[in-house]
Amino acid sequence: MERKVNLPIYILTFVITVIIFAIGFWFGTVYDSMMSENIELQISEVSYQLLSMQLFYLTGESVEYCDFYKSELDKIDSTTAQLGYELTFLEETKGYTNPELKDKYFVLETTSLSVNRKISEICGSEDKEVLYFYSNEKCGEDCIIQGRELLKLKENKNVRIYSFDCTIDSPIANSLCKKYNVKAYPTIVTNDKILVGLHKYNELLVGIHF
Amino acid sequence: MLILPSEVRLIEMLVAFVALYLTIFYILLYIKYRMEIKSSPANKGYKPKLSVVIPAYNEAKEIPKCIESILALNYPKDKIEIIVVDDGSKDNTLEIAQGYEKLGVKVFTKKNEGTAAATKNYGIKKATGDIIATLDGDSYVHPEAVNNMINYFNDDSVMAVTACIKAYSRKGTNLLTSVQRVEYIFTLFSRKILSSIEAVNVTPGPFSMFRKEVFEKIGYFDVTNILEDQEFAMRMQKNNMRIKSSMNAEVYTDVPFTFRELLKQRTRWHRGGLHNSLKYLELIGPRYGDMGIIVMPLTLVAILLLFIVFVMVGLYVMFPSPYLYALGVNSLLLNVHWITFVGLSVFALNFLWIYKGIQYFKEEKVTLLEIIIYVIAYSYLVTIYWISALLKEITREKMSW
Repeated sequence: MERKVNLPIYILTFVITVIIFAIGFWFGTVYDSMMSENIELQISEVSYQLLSMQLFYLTGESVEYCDFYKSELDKIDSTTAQLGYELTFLEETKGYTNPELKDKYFVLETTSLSVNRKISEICGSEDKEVLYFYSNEKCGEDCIIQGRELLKLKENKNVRIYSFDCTIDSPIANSLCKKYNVKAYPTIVTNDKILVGLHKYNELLVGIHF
Repeated sequence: MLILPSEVRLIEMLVAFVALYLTIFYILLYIKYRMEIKSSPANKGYKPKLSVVIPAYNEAKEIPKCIESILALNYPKDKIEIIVVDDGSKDNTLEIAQGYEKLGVKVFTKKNEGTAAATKNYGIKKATGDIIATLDGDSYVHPEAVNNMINYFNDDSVMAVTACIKAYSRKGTNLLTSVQRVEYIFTLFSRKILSSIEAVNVTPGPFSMFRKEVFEKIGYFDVTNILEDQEFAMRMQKNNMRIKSSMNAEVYTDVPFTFRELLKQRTRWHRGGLHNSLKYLELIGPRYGDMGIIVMPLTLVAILLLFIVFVMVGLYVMFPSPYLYALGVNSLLLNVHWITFVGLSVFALNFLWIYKGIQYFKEEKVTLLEIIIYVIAYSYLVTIYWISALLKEITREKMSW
């Protein structure tokens, strides 16, 4: 029996398969940029809200408005956190990184942090403030796990978490990392303590003094 | 446990590539060989003596229909020899079969040895025909089936012919039997394409025909093998013997009605398939043409990858990313990856391909919904079969027919 070897079919099949992959990749890229634009738009909206808040308390620092400040800040914090999850999820699921977008997000977080501190001065606050420094470049699994442990903490306790990637090109994140002398990852800075290395949920409870 | 989606994606990518490559390969083969696939060999009046060997174990309910379908064949009666071999049935299969002795049916009984192969071999050794067919006791044939198959033997190089096996269930119809019906029809179409590149790797038990010299040259069915019909076809391939596939020689075989029955059957098939693939790894390589270069290796790789991806997805579901909860519905949108688009194209292409294959059997009324269910359910079912087969392999559970 003569065996058939359809070499032209192997090659044509390979070419068509690669073309379909390329089309899929193109669709995926378009889709990712749509998602990224959507996140960017949301960052702009939240930044605008934060700016409004700043203008509002600059025109008159008064405890009368504390309820308003707090409820607005809660909404802003919730949206900011959601945007953070989206960015993290995109990185985890697709390895999608957009330094420019992350920089905008870090600016948003820093603004939010400053406004929160100012409002806490005026109105007082029970919430703990946690700065989380990580590096996608230099810290692998530990930082992923740390992010998830902090998420657990946020879901269970009154805590405001601000995350910063120290190794991307972001002036604001880089200056914060320098300010807190971050040398290793993950690093967690609370009001009175610096925790270096991976800390699980229960260790965080002890470390942050809940 | 930390299962990262990026790790699952990598495997998904490989699965998508292999699945896409295989599907496109089949489509291009179809385009190239479509005339051969559509045609059937001409009737040149070749009517060799045919022996039909029917192995039967506890087939009291089905055996009358099986024997009567052979008696009703549109083929010269003096050229048909019917041999029923009862494999020590616990029911009254033997007595029922003996009732047909007056019609010329030869009935034998032997001690049960636990495999269909030994029963078939017993009958084949008694057969006097130039062409020997094996027919499972729970199957029955169309009156024109033999004529449609025998014409392939006009070509001296053809050593075996497989039938157009369709699924039916004596217990009725349900979702499982519908899925199996679609599966059987599509398998026929795929086998026909494989036949055009000399890559048929099974001569199914329900009804297959062989030249007598095949057994003389390469021996009988392997009595230690639980999937002896596949092992035999692979042995034929190893010996460069041509196997052709008929699309119009209709044979109906009883398929499992419950999931438990189906799982038992498929676990046996998959365990047997695994043993046979490992036994005939030598069929991989350019010496065996398209079968050795593409069909065998890529099918094995696809099975392995499919299994890995389902295990990984399973672990990912068991230990999900907490961001999934935090993001809620948004996570679905964010989870869309470029490989998702490739996956969708694999799904769409497979769906169209299966639809095209089923169109060949216009008399079979298959709905779009049945095809969709089949396409979706198939990969999940195959994974369950593989898990079950591997578990039984690990525990070394004894296999029987």
